Amino acid sequence: MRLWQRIYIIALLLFLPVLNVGLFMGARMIFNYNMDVTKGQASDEVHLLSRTIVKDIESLDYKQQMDDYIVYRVAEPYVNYITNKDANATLEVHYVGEKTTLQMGQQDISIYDTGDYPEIRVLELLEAPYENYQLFYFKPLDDFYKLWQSLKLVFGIISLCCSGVLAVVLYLLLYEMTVPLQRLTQSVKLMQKGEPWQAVEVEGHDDIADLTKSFNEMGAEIEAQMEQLYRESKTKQQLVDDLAHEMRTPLTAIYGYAEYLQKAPYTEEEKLDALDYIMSESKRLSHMGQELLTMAIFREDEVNVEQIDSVSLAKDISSLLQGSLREKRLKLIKSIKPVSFEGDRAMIVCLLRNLIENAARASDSGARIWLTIDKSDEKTIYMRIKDEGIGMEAHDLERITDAFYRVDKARSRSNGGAGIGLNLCDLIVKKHSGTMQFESVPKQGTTVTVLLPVQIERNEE
Amino acid sequence: MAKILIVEDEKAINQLMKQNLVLQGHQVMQAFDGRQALEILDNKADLDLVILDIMLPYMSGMELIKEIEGIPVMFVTAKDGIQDKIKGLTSGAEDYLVKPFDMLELIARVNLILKRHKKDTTTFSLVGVEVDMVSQKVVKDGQEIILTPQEWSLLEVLIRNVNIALSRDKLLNMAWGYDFDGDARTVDVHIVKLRKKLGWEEQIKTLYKLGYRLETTA
Repeated sequence: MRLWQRIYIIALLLFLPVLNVGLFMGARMIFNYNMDVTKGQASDEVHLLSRTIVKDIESLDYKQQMDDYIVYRVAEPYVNYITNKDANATLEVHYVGEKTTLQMGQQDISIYDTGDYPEIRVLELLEAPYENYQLFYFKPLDDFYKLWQSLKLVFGIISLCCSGVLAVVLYLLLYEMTVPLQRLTQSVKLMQKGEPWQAVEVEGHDDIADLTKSFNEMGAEIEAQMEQLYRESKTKQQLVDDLAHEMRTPLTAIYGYAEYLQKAPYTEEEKLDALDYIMSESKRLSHMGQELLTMAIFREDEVNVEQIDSVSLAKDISSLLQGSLREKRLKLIKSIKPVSFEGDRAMIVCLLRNLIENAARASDSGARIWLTIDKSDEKTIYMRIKDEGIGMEAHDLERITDAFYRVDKARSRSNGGAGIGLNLCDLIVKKHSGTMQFESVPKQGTTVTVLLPVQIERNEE
Repeated sequence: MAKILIVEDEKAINQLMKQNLVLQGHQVMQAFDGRQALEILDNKADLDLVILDIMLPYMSGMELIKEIEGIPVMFVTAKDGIQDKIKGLTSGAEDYLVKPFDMLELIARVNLILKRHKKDTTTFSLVGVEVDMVSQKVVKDGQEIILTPQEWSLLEVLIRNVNIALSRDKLLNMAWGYDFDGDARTVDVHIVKLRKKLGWEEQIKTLYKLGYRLETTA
């Protein structure tokens, strides 16, 4: 059973008896009041008659004629008067002698149930010296009870109507009140089935409106998180697809040359070339694996914050790259201001190495590469790597941090890049809450600027 | 012998395919990017087959194939999704080779395309032996040599995979099919017969642990 239905039934169960009891009691009060009035009227009339009759007898003035019948005779016109006035009403004079229990001047008013309708009876003794006579007045209350019955009918109808109206109005009211709740339930059910959250209109300022608002916020939040998860999983899927694709080429070469050596009548030169290819492609595979592993480690790892000194950092970098730079006869021109900043040394070294290696790959032999480290303001340092290599087109710049994206496939592969270097750089810079910008002019060179905060904000502390 | 252009930006793969096809006696040209390929296509229209990588610098294989008319194209790529294959084949390519591939697969596919376009080798000659692949006639020093059907099948496989070592199992399957009732010894027996009949004692080489190879260089 729904909440609003329960409230409806409880409200009806509480309210209808109260209404009906109230109506019944009201009717009863009207009845009692009317009964009192009727009784009072009868009593007054009988009392008046009794006094009048006694006075009439006394005014007769001939006491000698006083006999048993004088009372009846005097009372007769009054008896007739009563009957004339009201055909139902009857007045009788009875001789009761000593046997009455009634006190003089007292009245006995009672209602007798005689069958069809109850009747009112009034008994009163005449005043002394005629206290042996009593007046007996009785009148069936058919009019009164007929009125009472129709009154009861009217009250019944009123009660029924009120109950009916109440039931309907309450029903509609409660139903109306729970409509937003039902809409909310609908939306939640839809979401359960995996559909996107549909915002429910908020009406008014009641509890349900609050609930709806909260649900709307929650729905939007979940939606956003789902979106994020979807995007992340898509990126990951892309990475895996790309990786599978990237691995195939070296594998094809390795397998192919090995097969060639096994099955073909090769010359000595062919053999040496084949072995060369097998070795370099194996190296490429292992390099790819290493870079992916580095990325996985960096992705998982917290930034291991320490103070990094720019001068010693640059020294490390140039000794690390010395060999490969000399091989291509490239010149690394350093311009390092002594600055100190926070960061993970291993990651920053990896970042700079990758960026400089990229610059080296883009450069022709004998070219220059500039490395600059300085403060751009009190809170930020910048590291800039500039080359005079082949440069890139604008549309390539947008995608260069994607894993396995190659601006010039043939060239960068033959130079040994695995295609995830910049992806890794991007990750490192983001982990340090920094930014990385690329500027490039085709055939003139590329400039990479990394901006890093001097102090890394710590979330935990 | 056919003229084949290989367009593949990976030098290692390009060279590998070239060497394999040269073994078969084909004449091979190499291009390492889209522009180079287009240049060769513009100058030399007498190519029999183009082997085309899809992801190429400057101009993708998909763009390049629109420029190629009247020459069969075989795509070679590392993309092996169904969608990629369908896209490759509906763009007008004859076949689709997925990396990593097998030497024998490459040769078989190339042979099939060449045969379909009637550009395949119809005659084969080696040290005085002339073989007509169509009429299945073998002539040695002007005298016709009669081969049994089994011997002919084996000879055809050796010629179609010239200069490549084939294991006994491979020869068994390729020459007589998987349901042929025979074993490695059967191959040895027939090889001996062929050597004797054609005088190819040196040309059909026995390779330790590998099998046999018909050599044109020996």
